[in-house]
Amino acid sequence: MKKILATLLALTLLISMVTIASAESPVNITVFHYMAQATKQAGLVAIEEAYTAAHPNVTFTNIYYNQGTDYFPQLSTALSSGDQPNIIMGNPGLYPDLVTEGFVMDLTDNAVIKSLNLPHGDLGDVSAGGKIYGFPIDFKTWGIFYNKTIFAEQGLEVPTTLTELNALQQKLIDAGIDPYVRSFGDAVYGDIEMRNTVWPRALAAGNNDVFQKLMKGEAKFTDYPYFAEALTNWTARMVAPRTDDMSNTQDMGLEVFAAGGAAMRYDGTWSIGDMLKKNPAFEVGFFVVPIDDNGSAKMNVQVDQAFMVNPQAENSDVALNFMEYWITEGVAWSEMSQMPLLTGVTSDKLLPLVKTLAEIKGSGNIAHYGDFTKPFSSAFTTAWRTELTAYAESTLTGGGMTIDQCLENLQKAFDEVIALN
Amino acid sequence: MAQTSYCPTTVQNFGREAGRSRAKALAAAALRVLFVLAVTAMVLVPFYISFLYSIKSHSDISLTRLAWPSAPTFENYLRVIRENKYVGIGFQNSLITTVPTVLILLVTTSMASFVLARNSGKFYKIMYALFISGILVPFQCIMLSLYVNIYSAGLASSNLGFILARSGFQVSISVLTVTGFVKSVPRDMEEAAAIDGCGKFRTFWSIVFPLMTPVNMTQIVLNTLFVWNDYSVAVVLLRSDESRTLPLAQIVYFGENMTELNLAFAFFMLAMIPILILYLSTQKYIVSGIMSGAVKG
Amino acid sequence: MTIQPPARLDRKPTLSRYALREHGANILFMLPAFLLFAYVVLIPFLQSIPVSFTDKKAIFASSWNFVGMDNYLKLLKSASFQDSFMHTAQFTAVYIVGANVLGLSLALMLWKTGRFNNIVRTLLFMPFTVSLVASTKVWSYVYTDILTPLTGSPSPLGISSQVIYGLALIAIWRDMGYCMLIYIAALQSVPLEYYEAARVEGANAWHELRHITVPMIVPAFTANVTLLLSWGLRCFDYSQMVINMKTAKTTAVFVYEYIFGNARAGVGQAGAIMLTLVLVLLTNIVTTILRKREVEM
Repeated sequence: MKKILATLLALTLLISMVTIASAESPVNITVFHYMAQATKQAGLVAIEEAYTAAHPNVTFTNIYYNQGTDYFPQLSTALSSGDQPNIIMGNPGLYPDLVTEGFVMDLTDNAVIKSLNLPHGDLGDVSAGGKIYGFPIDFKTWGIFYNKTIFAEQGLEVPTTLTELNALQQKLIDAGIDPYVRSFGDAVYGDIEMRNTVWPRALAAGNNDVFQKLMKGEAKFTDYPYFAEALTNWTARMVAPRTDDMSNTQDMGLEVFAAGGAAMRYDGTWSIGDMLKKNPAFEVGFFVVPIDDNGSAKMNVQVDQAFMVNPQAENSDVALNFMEYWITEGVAWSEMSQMPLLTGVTSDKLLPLVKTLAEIKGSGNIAHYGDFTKPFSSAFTTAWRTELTAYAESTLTGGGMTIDQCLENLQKAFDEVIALN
Repeated sequence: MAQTSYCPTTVQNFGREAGRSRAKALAAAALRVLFVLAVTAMVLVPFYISFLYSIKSHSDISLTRLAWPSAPTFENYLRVIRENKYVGIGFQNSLITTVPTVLILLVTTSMASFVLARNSGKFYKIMYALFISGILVPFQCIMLSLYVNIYSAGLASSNLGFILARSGFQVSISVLTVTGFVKSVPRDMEEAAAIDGCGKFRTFWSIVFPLMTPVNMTQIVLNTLFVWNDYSVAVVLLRSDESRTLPLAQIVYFGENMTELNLAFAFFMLAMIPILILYLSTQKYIVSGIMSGAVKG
Repeated sequence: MTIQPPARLDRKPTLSRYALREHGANILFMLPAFLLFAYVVLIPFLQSIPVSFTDKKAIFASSWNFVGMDNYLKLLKSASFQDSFMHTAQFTAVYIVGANVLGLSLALMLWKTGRFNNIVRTLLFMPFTVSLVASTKVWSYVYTDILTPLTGSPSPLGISSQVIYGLALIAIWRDMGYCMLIYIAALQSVPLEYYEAARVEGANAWHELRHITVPMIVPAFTANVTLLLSWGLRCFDYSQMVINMKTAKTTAVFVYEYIFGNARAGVGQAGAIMLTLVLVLLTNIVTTILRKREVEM
């Protein structure tokens, strides 16, 4: 009897040990991402460490590649060799092949995402073909950052109309101050200068499929008046060119701006962290750029960090659980990265500016990229951006390219990409 | 210049002529030195700016840019080393991949080049052309298949995988260099050895290989430069942070820390120092051995 | 490879025993280098060819159709692909001419051994020890922080009509020291007796240059041009640093974008094969012409 009891005891012990061991068996989650800023990388580590604290058997490997040049190439190379990362950063609409090849999990019925009641736009940015494939974490927007000190010294007010903005630029020029420092050495800048006119106009006109049609060749740039309007508005901002406008990368431009070398800078919210890192005492404000005198401007919103879960990788359930944790308990991430969460959750450690952005988004008076049927894919984005950079160069250096010529060049470049499809 | 110019002169005007030609020669020499120094100064500018930015504080860079710092500091170097563990890991990885790669190349390509230089049959000509064609294939063309093969061999993000890939990639240019050199080595001694009944293997290692010392030194130094500085192969094969080589870690760091230029440049200098030391201590071998191979090849 | 030797030997039965051993040893000598080369370059290249005849999209796509020559025909008609070839050609031309002219002039001034010459040579070769990607990073600052304040003109990397030359200048900076060393090696290999003999026969400086120096340099010229041609036409990293400028996009970058970034692997791979063909063809033409010159001289 004793023997049997002892054996039973030993067996239960063994079984429980085995179960514990299997529950605690080490799991490594690979995160493939393109977050270049040090603050965002620190945020990623912070959220991972918080998760590991609750699940000690889970560790993380982060793999970083530069988005503009290496990210998708290296991701594709990994996937085609059978090397399967667990979590893939990106918007599924931008990487449709990942969806068709089954490298991303269908999250349409995910209870956690449903419980957050996110607006259509937020989910649209992580959807493809009507299904949700990604966890949207935070959002980005762009507009004019201004040097509060210079504005105060010159007695300037934040403009609310296009006329006011133009007058303000002129005042700065008259005072011998560079109104803007630009960074067209980075291809994204021409793009965001256009978006703030194009998005609200297109959505107001009900052209939710404008990008899809342009990519299919079913419509032309000249079919939509707001592309010319966007170029006109942007051209009006390209006053008082500096010699470094075309060669500045994002960082070089920020350097000048944070040192007080120019009063304003058209930039994305991703630069906030770096701006303050360069000059912690920097007094900086932000406004949505007016696109006419009738207050039609709306803050653009695009999901920034979004992550897909790869069902073909091992331990995809753990990866899924981690992403559910991140989207609900993401404050640790937000505090480190200073990125506004889509859920609207904020904390005292966030900058007032970041909180304001979250409030504007909460008000709903926004133009959301996720409300478009499809985003520009990689090849079209390259064409769009390089043509806009060429237009910026011509305008800033007196090259004389007209708006019509720019639209024509854009159309030609798109036709080229379509022909190679 | 003066020794090489040949001008017959008569005795009468010898003095004047010589004086004039000496003045001419002097002017020419001065011009030459001036030109050389100007070019050298321009060549050194990027090194100067890197060094300068690496010893200035960040605010000092944004305020005064090129001015010499009022308080030069090596704090940036210490910070990079202290705050970034990938300096140490990268250095270690670079060392344990570069050394074996260079040795593998030394052994394999000297043997192959010896055969290619000594045989003129059609088969060898084709083999030589095949080897050399390696320098004509754009890396982007083979990048995918290479990674797939390396991954399926279980060698992705490993030192061994990088060593294999980097050696294979370097074979072409090494064969090009060494074959040309071997052609200029006289055959007498190996023929004598063959008559004495030495096997090919022994003949090569005991007679030919020692004669190849100049080109082997060149090869070692140049291959070290190529392998140590490699980016394109490394960025594809070495994905995990732990497997990165020093230049790769440096580029990643550069991308992440543009906000603090001083640190980025300090890392840049740090990554360059080992290779610069190697180059400065071995450069006489590059100059002496260089390319008796390439020139005759 | 293993079949060929016996076939050859059949034709020469008298040699068979010895030749067979000789041949076997030769193959063993080449084998290690060949295996490395095949694993890393040759096999991946062959693997990449079939893709170019398909409509494969993302490289990880599981299904695709055979489309014959479609991709090649599309590319031949594509203006952006043609443009990329133009940019590559511009870059390569400036790069080859610049690096060779500077390399040769410096070599002519510095080929004699001496303290000054040795130091300057060492300094001039230094850029070659910096990794290519790192040098592009540093140069973007050389342009904005030195060139702009000095001349008041913007960095060439931000001017679409100058950007390709701005990039070529970086490449020239990095590689002219290498060219110079090869020329120096060639100049030093000219036996001094040639000059003495020429002087005895009454040759002047021009004759010496024309009949001794130049013929001795031509092989070095061939070596430099061939190598720089292959480096230039495969230009990738330089172009990659200014992806915002469409006038700087080289074929290698175009190919990379299509295979990987744009998920049009079939089209991209066809472009890569075409680039390789152009490279092989051009290199062959150039070396044939130059080698013929060498003989004529």
